[in-house]
Amino acid sequence: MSHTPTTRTMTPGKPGAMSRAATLDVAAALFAWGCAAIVTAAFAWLLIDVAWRGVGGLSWSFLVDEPSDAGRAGGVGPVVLSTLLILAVCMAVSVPLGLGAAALLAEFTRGDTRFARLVRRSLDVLAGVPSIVFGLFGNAFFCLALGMGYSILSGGLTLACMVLPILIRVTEQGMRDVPDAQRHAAAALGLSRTTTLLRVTLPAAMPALAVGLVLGVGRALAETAALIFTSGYVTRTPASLLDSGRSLSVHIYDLAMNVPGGETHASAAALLLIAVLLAINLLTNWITRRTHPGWH
Amino acid sequence: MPDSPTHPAPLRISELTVRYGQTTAVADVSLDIPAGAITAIVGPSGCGKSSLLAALNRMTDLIPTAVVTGHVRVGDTDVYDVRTDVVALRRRVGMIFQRPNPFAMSVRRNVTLALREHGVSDRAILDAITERALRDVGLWDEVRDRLDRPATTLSGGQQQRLCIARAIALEPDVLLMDEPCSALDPIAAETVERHIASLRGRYTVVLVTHNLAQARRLADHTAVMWLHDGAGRIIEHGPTAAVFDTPTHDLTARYVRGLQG
Ligand SMILES: Nc1ncnc2c1ncn2[C@@H]1O[C@H](COP(=O)(O)OP(=O)(O)OP(=O)(O)O)[C@@H](O)[C@H]1O
Ligand SMILES: [Mg+2]
Repeated sequence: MSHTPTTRTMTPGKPGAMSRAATLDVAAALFAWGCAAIVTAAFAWLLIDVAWRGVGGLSWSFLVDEPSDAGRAGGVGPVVLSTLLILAVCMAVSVPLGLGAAALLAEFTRGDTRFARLVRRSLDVLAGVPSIVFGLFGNAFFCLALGMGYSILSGGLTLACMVLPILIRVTEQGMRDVPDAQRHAAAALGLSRTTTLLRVTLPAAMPALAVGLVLGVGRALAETAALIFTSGYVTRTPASLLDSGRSLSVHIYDLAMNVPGGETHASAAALLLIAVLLAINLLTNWITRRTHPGWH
Repeated sequence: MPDSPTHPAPLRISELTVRYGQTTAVADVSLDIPAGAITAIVGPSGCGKSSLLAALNRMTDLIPTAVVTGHVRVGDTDVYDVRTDVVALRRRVGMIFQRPNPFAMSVRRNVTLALREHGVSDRAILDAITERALRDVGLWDEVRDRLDRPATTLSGGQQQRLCIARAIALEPDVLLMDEPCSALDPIAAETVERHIASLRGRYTVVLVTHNLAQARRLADHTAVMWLHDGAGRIIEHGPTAAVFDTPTHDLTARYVRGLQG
């Protein structure tokens, strides 16, 4: 939705001169457009920069080959596989839990109970905790206390803990934003609370849920600190979820910081990471639109 | 079940009081609403019409601060008995709201969602009920080609008729309508009004309206509510013609004269 500034003159006496309100309108519009342009330009620059450096390194063999010479040569096949597995574990745990918790907060604790306030406050604090803290927690809890060791499972679960607060809060807000009129209509038709939740509120909150998911996945994919201590940095192809595996972000970090001469491959991997993120974004959008044509 | 004819049921309201926290919205209302007729509830804004209506199918349950005392009977069901199943009650007592509130899903699913919930799963039966309900509100010819399009793309008047169709698809005994035409333009309102009139005899209709002319055109019986000592009460009720032409209460006389112009 774009607003074009109104420049029509309202003062009949001075043709051509703009009224104060109209001048203000133009200024506000210019400011808004300017901000949008700066943000877009920054993103475009980043994208072009990464693409410029990385596109040369991208090829089919880069996608599927094992890395060699500490990542300077070869590809990122096992790393991509580990990344997807970690992401799958994270989503398999956080999506159902997140939905359940959001539904509880939005639908079943009407108003402001002390319990709901406490949960919300905790989530907001958790959402701001630095990821290195999650990494150390995951290492102590999943790797050591639960005996999962450095593994894709540990990494995925740690990421789930990290992603959950955002996912819950965004989904909860989405559910709250569903107009009460929809709930009243459902109640008046004799729909149970469960049906109302599953068939009316949740579908209507789908777009918000998708946003929560994209934010969560984005945070998870970008994560290095939480993963180095939990899923590790082994570049082998994982044989099971209990194997250690290196994620793309850890790989990029390693190449860029620890491996002289790894910059080209780091950029190629970064480009790949961005492509995966964009693909997930588009996919979520598409699913939302497919499952919910009436809502934009 | 959906193929059985409807059984319009009478409503018996006795000593009904609705409070929101400290404020009393409806005080000590007793009213008999005859089966199969259209009964209008009129009165100035804020006198408790919506609250009274919401108490009849326990929509007041959804408002945390609302407390209802007194009795309501629908046919021989005691609405406020602890053993009464609210879901079953609301299936028998449908409600239409002031603003059309179709679900954000297809036209067809708006009608079938509640039917499925209540155990109808046969596609052919669902289709038949959908068509009949939409015909009843004169919407069939307008939407037959776009049953799978989002209901939110319909016009306001069409949406409101869809909401009525959605309610009558459940074959309720009673229909509660809270100013169903007030958010519509005059032409759409006229269409909706005509279809409400056609429901007479098949359902017990309770119609809250600001529009006295509409009450006069549609209602067999009319009840006038008024704010009295800060709470809404019924000051007069009876056959519509009597209430409008020979009101016994001073306030009613002035109200119907004042707004008739
Ligand atoms: N959810 C609520 N919480 C607290 N007070 C309420 C609530 N709903 C209504 N009231 C109060 O109850 C009184 C009656 O309101 P109600 O909506 O029943 O009136 P109404 O006759 O339907 O008015 P209108 O014609 O404007 O729709 C008003 O004083 C209103 O402020
Ligand atoms: Mg009202």
